[in-house]
Amino acid sequence: MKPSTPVITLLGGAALGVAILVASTLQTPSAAPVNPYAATSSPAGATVTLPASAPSTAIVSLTPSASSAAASTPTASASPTVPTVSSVPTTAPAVSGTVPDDADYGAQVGGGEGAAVAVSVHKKKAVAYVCDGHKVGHWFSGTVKNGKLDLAGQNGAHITLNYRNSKAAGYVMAEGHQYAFSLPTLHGHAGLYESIAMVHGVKMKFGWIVLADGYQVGSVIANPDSADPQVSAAPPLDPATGTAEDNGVVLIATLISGVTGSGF
Amino acid sequence: MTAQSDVSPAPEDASLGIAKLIVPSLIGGLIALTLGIYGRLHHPTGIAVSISGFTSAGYAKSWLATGATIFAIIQVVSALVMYGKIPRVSAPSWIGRAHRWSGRIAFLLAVPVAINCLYGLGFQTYSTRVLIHSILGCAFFGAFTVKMLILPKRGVPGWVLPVVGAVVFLALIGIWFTSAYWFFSTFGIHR
Repeated sequence: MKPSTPVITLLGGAALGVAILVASTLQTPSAAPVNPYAATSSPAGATVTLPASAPSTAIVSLTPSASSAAASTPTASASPTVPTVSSVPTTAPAVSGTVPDDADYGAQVGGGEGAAVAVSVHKKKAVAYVCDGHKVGHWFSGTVKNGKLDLAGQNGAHITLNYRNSKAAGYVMAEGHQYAFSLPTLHGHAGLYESIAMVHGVKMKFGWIVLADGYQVGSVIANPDSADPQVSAAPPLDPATGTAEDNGVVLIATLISGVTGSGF
Repeated sequence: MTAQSDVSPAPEDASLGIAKLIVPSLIGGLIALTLGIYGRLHHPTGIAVSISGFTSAGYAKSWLATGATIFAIIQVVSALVMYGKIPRVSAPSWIGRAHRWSGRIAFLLAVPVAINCLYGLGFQTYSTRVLIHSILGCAFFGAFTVKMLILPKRGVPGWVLPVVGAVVFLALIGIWFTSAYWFFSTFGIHR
């Protein structure tokens, strides 16, 4: 008997595991790519530029005390002008290009710790969603006007953005935090997914944002129509099948796409 | 993963033999804990390195897990033969090697699945199936480590290896039922 063979087996397995982990890390462009906010202009002096490496402390909160804290945060190197109003800036960053009839956008928000925003525009209608896969999940829907969207959601949530054929940029206010975003267009499996289901007698509205690099984040809102909706993490969505599973219930998700019109 | 002749027939001191289990158990527990904590802290990407030849990561993992489970069943059968527990079947000379290699293959098939799960999905708790799967998945590698580390030790009571082996096997069966079985019965059996 060679005493070391079981240990060699273990080490071999460990080496294989590390190799696959490294390969996974390399193949996934980034486990949590932070989309640097890149507004081309700052129309109302209200632009908050969050560097790619901005930690969560750089999130501009709109409560007075937190505002001063955020203003003194050294990491907000682009000397942000902290909005003093209790909503998002009324003017979203300008975006150049032509206004498309139909488009889908999405990306992670600046400094949002994995939170993402997705927007789909179909003719004159728009659906937007922000979620962090944790406690933020807000849906917005309404009409667009000249490449601009300005919508209120539940519990003080608010989104304002400008969109053109290749990009959308703006702000979203959710759970007392304001996030800036700059969204490229999304195609294929990437996009905004929705599923509404009764799970054990409770109405649940699931929403996922899947980005081009495979990054996904999803939240679920229990009792979405009530005065007190509860938000929690959504189970992972398999974009290949468009399904997820929650407590033994298989969820069929719909891709909300302005380009194809599905979900509108 | 050892031939019958490797099992110490008469441990001179039972408590000393049991004491030899402490360090392997601690290491195994640490590994299970490490996997669980990593799966909980790492932000799941939803994807990991893709395994060619399958339509999705779910199918790749389900088939690999099924392969590991089949080899694990070979493990149990070959162990029973080695221990002379199957009537009228005497252990052939190659049974020890068959047991060792089926174990190695099962382990090596399970590793990519685990990394895919931990990296792409993480340790999740959103349903009973998923919670059981997450716990068993981490526990399996801890238990397997314990088994591997105990194997070369002399003087360990005779019941230890069969018990630890059974724990490893049952964990894998539980993992398979809460993942591949669920996946195949939900999405159908194909590549």
